[in-house]
Amino acid sequence: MGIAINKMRYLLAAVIALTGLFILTVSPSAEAEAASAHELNYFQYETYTHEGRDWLRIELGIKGGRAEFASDVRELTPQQLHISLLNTSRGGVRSDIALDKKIAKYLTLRQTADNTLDIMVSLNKPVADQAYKLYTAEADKKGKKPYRLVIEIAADKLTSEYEADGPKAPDTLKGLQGRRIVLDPGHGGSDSGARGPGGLLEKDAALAIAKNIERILRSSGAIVTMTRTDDRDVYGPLASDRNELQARVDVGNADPGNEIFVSIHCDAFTSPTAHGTSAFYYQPSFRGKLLAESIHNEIVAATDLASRGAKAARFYVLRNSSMPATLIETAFISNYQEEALLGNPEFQYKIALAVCRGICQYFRMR
Amino acid sequence: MKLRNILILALVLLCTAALAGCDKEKLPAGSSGSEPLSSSSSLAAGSSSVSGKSAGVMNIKVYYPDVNAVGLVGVEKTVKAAEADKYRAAVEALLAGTEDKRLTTVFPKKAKLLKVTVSGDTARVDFDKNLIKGFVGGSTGEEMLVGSVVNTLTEFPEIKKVQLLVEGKEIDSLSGHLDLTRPMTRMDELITR
Repeated sequence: MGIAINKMRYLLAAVIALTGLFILTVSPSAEAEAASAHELNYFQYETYTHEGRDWLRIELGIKGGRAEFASDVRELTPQQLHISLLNTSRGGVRSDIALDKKIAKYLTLRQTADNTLDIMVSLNKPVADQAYKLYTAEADKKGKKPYRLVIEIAADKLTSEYEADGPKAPDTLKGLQGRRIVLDPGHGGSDSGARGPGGLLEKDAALAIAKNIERILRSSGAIVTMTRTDDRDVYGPLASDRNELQARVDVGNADPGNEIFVSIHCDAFTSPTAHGTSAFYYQPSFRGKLLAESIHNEIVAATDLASRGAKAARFYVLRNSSMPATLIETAFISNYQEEALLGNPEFQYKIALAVCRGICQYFRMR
Repeated sequence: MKLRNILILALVLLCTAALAGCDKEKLPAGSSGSEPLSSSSSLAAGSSSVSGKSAGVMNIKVYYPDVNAVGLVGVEKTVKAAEADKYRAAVEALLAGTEDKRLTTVFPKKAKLLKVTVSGDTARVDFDKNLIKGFVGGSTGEEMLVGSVVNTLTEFPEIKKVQLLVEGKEIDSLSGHLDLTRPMTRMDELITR
């Protein structure tokens, strides 16, 4: 009896192999994990052209219905797109699969701890330079396709798709060659700063604007030092205000060649009607005042923001910097209209350019 | 019988309202120029209403930000307090807010004043942790809050500086802008009227 079944299996496998119906990438797996709620049961890829763009479409069938997935790109491997399928096993799909070569080289399936399946697609270019889509598709009885995860990758990225990265070539201003400028994006990490009614965080808007300023200043030949370049505390998480603020001052004061300190913030108030832009300086510093006024005037000229003036204030970073310093309160994140502006990449660039023009003006007048 | 009860109740309510009226704040008339502090008429009216109590009646000036946070506006208030409690009474009046629709408050609703102590020319104002926990942030909000405390207390001629504390400890800053590591002197630049 047992022998008969074994023989039948053997025969069946031979028939399938001979007729060539067998899809290369799907093979019966001996190590199917029973613990997972989902299992891959289908694989296919194809390339196609849509509106003049070349696309690669990868489809992975999932047995057991809806599976949760998430994607990420890791810093050290920018050409690899990772998709995590939760509570899923590889099933009968091969672990290493060659792809079209033009858009993507190959795909690997690796089981990680806690039953997650890591799908890695190795692309020819950094993922950041290729548009991609991830979605699930219902079972297609006509096309004999099960419920599946679909990964679509375009050969290139359109200019409009770069929107979040800002304009490709920043403006270049004259008179900044060799100038040493310290930029301080306010708050960060454990300190979010103020929060807008729509949820925008001051630390994120301040960093986005400061990064635009950095790009324009660098392309204009200035030497820029940033107190932070990502979402982090400068001293350390949950430090005292004094330690955190002094750490920012220290970044600037560390190099005696640094000429100016510019801190970028978003203003906030309890009443949502408060609005407008302001610049602050430490009263005893004449050059600090000149710097604040120069930048403030350019922001008022470039935007529709109401001027709240360039004003003296006893702010920590202004009082303790060893160079002319200003703190720019770009606009009110607590005001609906201005929060929308602060979250808009075009506006972030516009106000950044105005800050740079103000810095130019300062160096001309100084 | 019933009618008489109602009448008595109405009379009591009326008296209470009249007394409360004496406590109402007074905005300096008009918006032009700075108003002098001397407004002795309200002081006299206040005195008569609490005659017989040990606490004195004072006319003080409390600073509130306008709704657009352009600056601080001085509002005259009459408070009842013993001489030793006058600083606390002034900060409590500030925390209590104002009914003037043009003005607002920056203090978190839950923030409580623990105590005010004075040594030399410096007042040390201690709040509970809700002062920082519930603060909505921003340079302007921070300046308005600190400025309102500092300017309200430095209205007393003997107070020249104010140090803010939270739960007994001196604070470096409120939300990461102002340098509060040293006691603050009067912030006249924030006063619009």
